[in-house]
Amino acid sequence: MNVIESSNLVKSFGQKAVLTDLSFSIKENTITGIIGRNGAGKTTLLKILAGFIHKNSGEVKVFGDQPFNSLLVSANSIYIDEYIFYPQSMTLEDILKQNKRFYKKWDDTLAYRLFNYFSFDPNQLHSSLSKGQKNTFNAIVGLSSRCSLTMFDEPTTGMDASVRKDFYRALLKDYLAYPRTILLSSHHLDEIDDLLEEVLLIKDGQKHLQLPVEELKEYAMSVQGFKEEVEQWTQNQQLIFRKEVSGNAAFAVIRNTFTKADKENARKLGLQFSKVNASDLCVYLTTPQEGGIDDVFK
Amino acid sequence: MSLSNVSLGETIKNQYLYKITSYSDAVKSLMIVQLIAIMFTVSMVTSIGSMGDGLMHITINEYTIDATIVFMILWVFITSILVTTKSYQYEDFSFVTNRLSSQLANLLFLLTAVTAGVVSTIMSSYLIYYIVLIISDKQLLGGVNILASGSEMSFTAIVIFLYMLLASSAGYAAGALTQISRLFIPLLSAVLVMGSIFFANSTFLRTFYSFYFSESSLLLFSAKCLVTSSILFAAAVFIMQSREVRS
Repeated sequence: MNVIESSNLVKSFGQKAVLTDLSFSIKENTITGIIGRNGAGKTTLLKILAGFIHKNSGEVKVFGDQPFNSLLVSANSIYIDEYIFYPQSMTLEDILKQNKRFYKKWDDTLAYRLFNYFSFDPNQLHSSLSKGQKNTFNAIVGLSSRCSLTMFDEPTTGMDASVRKDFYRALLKDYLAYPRTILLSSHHLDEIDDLLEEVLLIKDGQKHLQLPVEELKEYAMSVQGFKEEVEQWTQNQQLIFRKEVSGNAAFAVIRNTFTKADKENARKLGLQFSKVNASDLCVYLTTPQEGGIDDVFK
Repeated sequence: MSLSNVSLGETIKNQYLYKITSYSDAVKSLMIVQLIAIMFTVSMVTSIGSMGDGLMHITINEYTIDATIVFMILWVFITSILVTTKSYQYEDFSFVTNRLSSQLANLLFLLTAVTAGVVSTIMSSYLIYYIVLIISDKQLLGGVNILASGSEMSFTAIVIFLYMLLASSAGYAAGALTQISRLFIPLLSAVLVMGSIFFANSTFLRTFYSFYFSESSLLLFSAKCLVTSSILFAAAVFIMQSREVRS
């Protein structure tokens, strides 16, 4: 069963089009990474799913309901990011208590165990937390709410390395014990690629790819060699990305669809193959074909 | 997948309980405004009569809670604007809600605020009496009519409630309008200021004034206030119904 269904979703802010034509669906009880460059539309998408903002056109359904003004969606989903608003006067303990009243599946034991593990003070004010602490606390709320749709938008910003690891581990353990649909938007795919089951790659407000992580890891290969040879060999391949390395050397990323003969051919041309990990691949897939940061300095 | 089902009523109740516990600024400002109003009243005493024959001198002073009422009306007006602002709206959406439940919980909260305002204003008249009793160096002559009677007090309470309700709905509607566009802030202020300067003697303003402020029948006055504030609240709820949060 699909928890989220979206077709031809369009959203713009004033003149700026953010989501241009987004169609995808998310199956029940999966962890999906929402990946994309800054400004690709990840946050906008999640806010539409949470019922915070309107769509301009297209269809979007969460639990079969339009999210905007849906109580069903609000009661069964939670959107966690670093900017979540809590009243200035509320202590961390107050916030946990309020959440307990609102979310029916809230797990108080888990909340307090995590709360104590990360050494929070119950009487501290949310506004006095550092960025990393704020995100850690918000993540505790997100996990403990046990919402059928849990959305984390850049949850690890500002967390130190060990807290990030702990968070991912807690997320995985709780997900295995209480399966639910989790969306995780992050720039650091390399940190979460063994946690995710699927990746939804957004580019220019559209779905660029939606694949199981395992397939994404096998999706492409890179070749390196002399510029002319790389250019000659990649002509008949599905090219994803190409750049000049230095002088007359070049580097290219291609779809993993070439034949054995192709590969033999490449060897003869002196080209070297290597694997492309999922995180790098997403960067290559979302980089404009022409020009990179090097061209700025030419 | 088992989904949690929540009703509108349950959500409103939860939102209301959350607002009551978290909007401590409103309670703080209520107490401060009351204190200022009481000090104001005690110091702004009006002498309405004085007599003496050389041996004894009697002064009759009148203390009214008019100042407190004006302060309370301003307080509830500002509080009502405040709850429509973005941060308050956004906070609601950190928990379970939709726009309707958030709005209706706001109305319940404002009704509670108005009630608290009325109760504290009525109570303040007793407090003022005791303060005068303590600070006065003259001997006070007690009497039955020193404080207003029970029926007078309840009449006053109802009228204060209605004025505060009117102010609250006006503030809430004004706040909702400014959520559509910031331009409504200078626009509404201009209309208020210019209107009272240039049209002070216009028949429209006089009719308006006498419609709300010169009504002698409590029943008719209540009807006018309740209908007006319902219209204003309903308009505000309608406006806010399609507002985006955290966009």
